[in-house]
Amino acid sequence: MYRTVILAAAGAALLSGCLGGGSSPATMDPPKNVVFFLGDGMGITTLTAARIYKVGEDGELTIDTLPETGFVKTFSNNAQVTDSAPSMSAYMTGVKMDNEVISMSTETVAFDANGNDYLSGADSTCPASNGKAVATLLEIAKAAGLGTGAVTTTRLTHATPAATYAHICHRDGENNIAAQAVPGGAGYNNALADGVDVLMGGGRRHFVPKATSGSKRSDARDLVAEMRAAGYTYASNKSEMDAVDTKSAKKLLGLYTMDHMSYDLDRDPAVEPSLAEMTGKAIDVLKNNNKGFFLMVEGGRIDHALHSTNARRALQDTVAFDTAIKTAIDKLQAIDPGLKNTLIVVTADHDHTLVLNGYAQRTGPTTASNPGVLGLVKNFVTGALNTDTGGNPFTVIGFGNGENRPAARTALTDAQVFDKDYHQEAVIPMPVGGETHGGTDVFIGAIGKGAENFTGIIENIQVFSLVRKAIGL
Amino acid sequence: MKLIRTLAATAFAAAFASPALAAGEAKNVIFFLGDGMGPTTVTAARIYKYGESGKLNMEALTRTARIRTASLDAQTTDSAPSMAAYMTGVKMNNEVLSMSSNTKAYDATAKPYVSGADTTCPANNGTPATTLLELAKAAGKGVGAVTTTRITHATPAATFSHICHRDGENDIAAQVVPGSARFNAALGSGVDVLLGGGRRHFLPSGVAGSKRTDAVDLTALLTNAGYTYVTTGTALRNVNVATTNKLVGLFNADHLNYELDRVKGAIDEPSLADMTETAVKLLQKNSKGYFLMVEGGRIDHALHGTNAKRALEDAIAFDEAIKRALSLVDLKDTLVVVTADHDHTMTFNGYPHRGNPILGKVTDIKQTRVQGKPVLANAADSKPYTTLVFGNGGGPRKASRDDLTTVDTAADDYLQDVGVVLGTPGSETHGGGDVMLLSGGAGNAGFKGTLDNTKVFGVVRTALGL
Repeated sequence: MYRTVILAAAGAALLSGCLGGGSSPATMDPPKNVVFFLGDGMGITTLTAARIYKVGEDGELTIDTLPETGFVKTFSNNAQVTDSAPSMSAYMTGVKMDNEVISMSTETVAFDANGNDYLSGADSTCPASNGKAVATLLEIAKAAGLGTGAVTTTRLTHATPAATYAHICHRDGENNIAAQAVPGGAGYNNALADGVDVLMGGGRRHFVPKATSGSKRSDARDLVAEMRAAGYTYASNKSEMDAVDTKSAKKLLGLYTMDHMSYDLDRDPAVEPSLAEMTGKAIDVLKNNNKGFFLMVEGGRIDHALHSTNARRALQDTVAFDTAIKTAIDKLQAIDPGLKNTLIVVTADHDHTLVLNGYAQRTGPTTASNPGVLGLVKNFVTGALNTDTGGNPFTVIGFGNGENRPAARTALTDAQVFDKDYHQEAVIPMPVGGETHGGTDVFIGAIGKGAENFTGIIENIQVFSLVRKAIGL
Repeated sequence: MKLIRTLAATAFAAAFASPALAAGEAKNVIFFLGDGMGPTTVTAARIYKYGESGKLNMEALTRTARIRTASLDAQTTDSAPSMAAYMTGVKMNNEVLSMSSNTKAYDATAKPYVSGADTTCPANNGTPATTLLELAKAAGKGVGAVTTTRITHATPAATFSHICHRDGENDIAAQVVPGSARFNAALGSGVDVLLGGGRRHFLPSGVAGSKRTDAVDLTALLTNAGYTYVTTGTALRNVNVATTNKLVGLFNADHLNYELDRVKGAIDEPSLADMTETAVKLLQKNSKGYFLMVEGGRIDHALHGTNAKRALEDAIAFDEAIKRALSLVDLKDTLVVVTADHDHTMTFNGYPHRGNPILGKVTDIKQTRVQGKPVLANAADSKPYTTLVFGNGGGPRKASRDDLTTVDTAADDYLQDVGVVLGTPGSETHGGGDVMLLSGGAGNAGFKGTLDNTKVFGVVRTALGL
């Protein structure tokens, strides 16, 4: 009996497969959706720490509920430890490239023979003969008629979002990256056709003319005005975003800050939308496309807080990223129950050097009165502070390198290390904000259509094909 | 029509090839445990041996999960409750081996229940929790435990013994010996293969190096119980598997040597791969199948010593044991699992160029290309730094770091820099980060997503149909 049912189901699948094969042009394929979540610098220990921070050792973040797990090797074409440009580009294009390079062919170089970056301020000086553009998942989706979007908490022109829609030999040419997103303007990336449908984040400084206070542009172009002229609805704060009618707005540009958006811990919720709110708005706009959509969402400042060895802001931004994932899953389950035609991927572009020292008693979640994983290591038998050979307590969270490497360790208190501006100690001293990325494999999780293929230890460039295959792009 | 029939057959096969969890799919299980082998150690070991784009043998196991390792009382687990979680499905306190959750390792005054290597666990302190090895034995399967540590150390002990504090190793030894007063009756006729170190807990107190406090010779009892007993790599090679039913190999009074020292010193101890091969071949004689645990136990010890080189050498030896096992088994009826019990605090600094030795100093990518040779990067103190460092450890840690410019950081005995000094070398702690689990073969469909370590037990048990 079981056998019969299975064969009948297989037959039905074949039948629908034949119809979908083109013999009947009237047949509508269901919309296919991809949401690609990128936690910048969100390595495996950061994920563990964020879980403990928010829900305790036994709790579950949304990330922890994803049914599939793989691990990703992150090295770039020229570096054992990658930066965000080639790592995100590897996911978006399937091509391995040098550090600093965004969605270009492998031979592209970011600096000249003398080691001078192809940059002048935020303007690119990439020579024309230096590599060629390689197609991104977003461009491929656009060409197939899907809606497209990129949402981030960093400047919209920063490496991760840029890798979805721009091509450049050095990531810091952010004025050019901005221009590549403006339909019809000089320097436009024609592979975006009528333009990316939803773009949200920070980074107005690369879109407004140089006369405007805070602008980093070196010309008089007003890219915001150009995009409005090209049909974009523009939002510059939370209330303007909320006011956008997602039924009628065909294209949405949100630039909420001049520079990066605020860390979630510092964000004024009345002025800047959360990553979850931006994600929800983006989906509401993109779901109007009856072929589906490709949306990239970055939790971009996890990385920045880690560079500062400021674990508290890093963990809070990781939790904000996790909340955005929940928003997306909930919305897409409503649009496409069971996620039969929707793939949601969650990964990081690289690790950092964050470590979790032992042997800590269970801390439970961080609350107003309990530093939790942000606190000092306490003995799991007695609850007393564990100390180093000098009798000084130490924090659960440490870093391999970073700005706080005291010559002599001191008697830290929980109150001190729980402060939102505390920078955890590091093994190797670095300049302020100079903690480096780490070279360790990162986590990739997935749910929905084709998720089961996100397993094993894979290279970052393989992710591109897995996404394409999952939704038949 | 033929095409349609083929496709239908394929769909049919697919429907049965990937059930959620088919009970009893696996006849055999090999459970590989890399002690302390966190994600950074996996990545570093890969680069050390095969380069950035190379593959470890364990990467052939493509069904993966992320494992949470917290114990009942600690955010940072030790090997006892973490391996016990895998083996029993029960969450327990640090130091406790395969006992119920209410078991305490310390008394009310925070004194551990141990005296030397003898247990002082009171009688009413928890109850044993059944292990996968015991379940397999009860089902008539062959069972074995192989390690590079003392066979009485926490990880192997979690497969065959039950005790409130892991350091009672004399008692753990007695639990595995049929005919001893403390024999663990749940082991039936005894564990079929036991290979590792730790003779000191089996030999009577009069023998040099013994840690026992009594005159019992557990090796004699094992021989009486029908075990073939070997103490060298040569003797292990000469074991006739066809005529051997039970095998115990204790190749060192203490732990086995690190792989680096074993090879360099031509020490007559078996490699982990050779021990694994003998164990698999012996257990394959059981027509009902087998459960084998293989531990790369000294990865952890070298990491405690912030001696990355020995840790990576031992991680590679562990990976070689996996390769050997995969060459001997049929994944159609055998489940192979590879995981770690916990992380360490080793981390991987940026940004060396691709191809830089993993044990070396961080290079400047740009200057390395411009000058056509490796150029070191400097930290904020204008001194070079190694790629691998540790969050804490034995030190030394100086107010002003040593200049490493002319230091060979790839030397056998080089100890990486640490952030917090906790004592002498060896005192680096475990880390609390999640670890990787890789699996292949029969019944591995349940290894996916993010799992608490206690859930691993259920997936293996179901795979075996026990």
